[in-house]
Amino acid sequence: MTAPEPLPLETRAEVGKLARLLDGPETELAALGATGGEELRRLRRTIERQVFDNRHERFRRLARLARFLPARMVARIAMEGLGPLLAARVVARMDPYRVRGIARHITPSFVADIAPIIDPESVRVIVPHLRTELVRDAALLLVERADFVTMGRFADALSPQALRAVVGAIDDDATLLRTAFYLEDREQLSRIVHNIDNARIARIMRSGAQAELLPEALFVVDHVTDELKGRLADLMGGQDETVLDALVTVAQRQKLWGPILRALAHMHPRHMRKIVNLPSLRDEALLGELVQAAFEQGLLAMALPLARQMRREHKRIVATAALRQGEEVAEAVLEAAQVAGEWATLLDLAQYIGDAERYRIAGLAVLQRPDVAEALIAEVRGPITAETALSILSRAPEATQRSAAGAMLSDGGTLIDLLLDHCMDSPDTLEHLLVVLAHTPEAHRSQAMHVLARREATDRERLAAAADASGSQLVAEALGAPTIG
Amino acid sequence: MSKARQKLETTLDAPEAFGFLDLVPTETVEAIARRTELRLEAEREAVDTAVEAALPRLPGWLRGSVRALLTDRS
Repeated sequence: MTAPEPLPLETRAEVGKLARLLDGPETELAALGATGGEELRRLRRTIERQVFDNRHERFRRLARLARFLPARMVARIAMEGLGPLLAARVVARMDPYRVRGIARHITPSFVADIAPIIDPESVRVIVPHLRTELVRDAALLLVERADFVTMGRFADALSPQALRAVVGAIDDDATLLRTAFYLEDREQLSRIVHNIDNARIARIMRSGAQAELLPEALFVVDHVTDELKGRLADLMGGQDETVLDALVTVAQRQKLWGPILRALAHMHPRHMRKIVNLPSLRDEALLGELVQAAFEQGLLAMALPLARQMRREHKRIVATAALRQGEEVAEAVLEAAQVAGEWATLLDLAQYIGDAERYRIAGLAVLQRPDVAEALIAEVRGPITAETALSILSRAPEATQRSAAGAMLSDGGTLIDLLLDHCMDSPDTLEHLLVVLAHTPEAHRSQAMHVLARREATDRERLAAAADASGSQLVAEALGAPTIG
Repeated sequence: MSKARQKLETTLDAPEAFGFLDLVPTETVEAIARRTELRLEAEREAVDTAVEAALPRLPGWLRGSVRALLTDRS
């Protein structure tokens, strides 16, 4: 029997809450992996409403009855008479200001007993009205019971003051991470992180860099504001290589590439460089999975800049791995380069692949688009990128070459002059350029000839030699040589 | 639409609300539907039990009101 696929983090958190509500094992819900966290949340809320609306009107009338009694007496009746379940149902129908008065006489252990069984929606309304010490002491009891789902629900509703008190009272960093995993309010999560001093945050994120807490730590990084993301991601990225290598293994096993990529995108380049060049990432199969995950989660534009920080061998491996994912992924990578303005990165990666792979890129439909051809050509900044780009384009279908030639001549001749400069010392690259220029659209033909004809004598000699080799009629005509063929 | 989804939506009084469950294996939807019914039943039973347990602990002047409000006996 194969192990179930690890769930995305949001889905995992929701499955935990749903399993808790339905009093069943999480494993029974493992097949919900393809479901989004938001859809599961909607299902859970609907079930919760059905559960907690049971005899709603009767509990509401009982709550109304309590309005006429002194707060101390209601508290005593609740704790000594009704018990946690009935009290939870009644309190959810009370005015929060009335609850505040009654709660002055309620013990923390009674709050901790009510917390897991009360309608989560009323927690949001009531908890902000409870005094800080009561909330703090009840939270500590929930910690003792390792009830992180309820803790998360509680934490969602805490006032800034109560937040500080609760976070300050909880010594165990792992508990904070496990609680944060079940928080629903992302702004509240950011507020919690804001409320924790730097040294503590560093300690928490270091504990998050232990394998068993990586999902929780990544969930936190993934759900705080962008400003905090960078701070937290850097704290994780600051670990030594051995720890990070171990985390890569966990990330692969638990399919955490999406959150990892989003965290990396906010990391300081120093840490990013260390991570993308980890020994564990010199693995084609693993990088293939990473590219596939980035494709499936729409993160290719975010992932591409990471390649800039890679060393040569990692670049070669990731480029090969990406192309092995099939045409659809390759098209998406090129599209991402176009959207993110990352053609320079892509050309840099393409340097490290062989002829067969370049043929495959050349055949991709996205390259036929004039805007794509133009953006690609514009990124040719030197002989190496010229060799890479032109060797691909010279293998491309005619339509792609026509688009590329048009792009080269679209700015009045400056770009083609620059390209010629980059190609002059390499007969092969020059030949590739002439192959592409052979498909110059009619509208640009005279301009192409003009640019070629005005080159210096030594360039004209090299062009003539390359024209001989490539059979370029355009160049032959431009240089005034007898027409070929 | 699967029978399990239909059953769950009927239980929750939410017709056509959870189309995404058509993409989930039937056994999982069946498990959710079954556990939801059990959970609702358990809630009703837990409240009944809690009321029965609470009544003797309540002051006499309140017992009648609680019995009238929270049980089907008055």
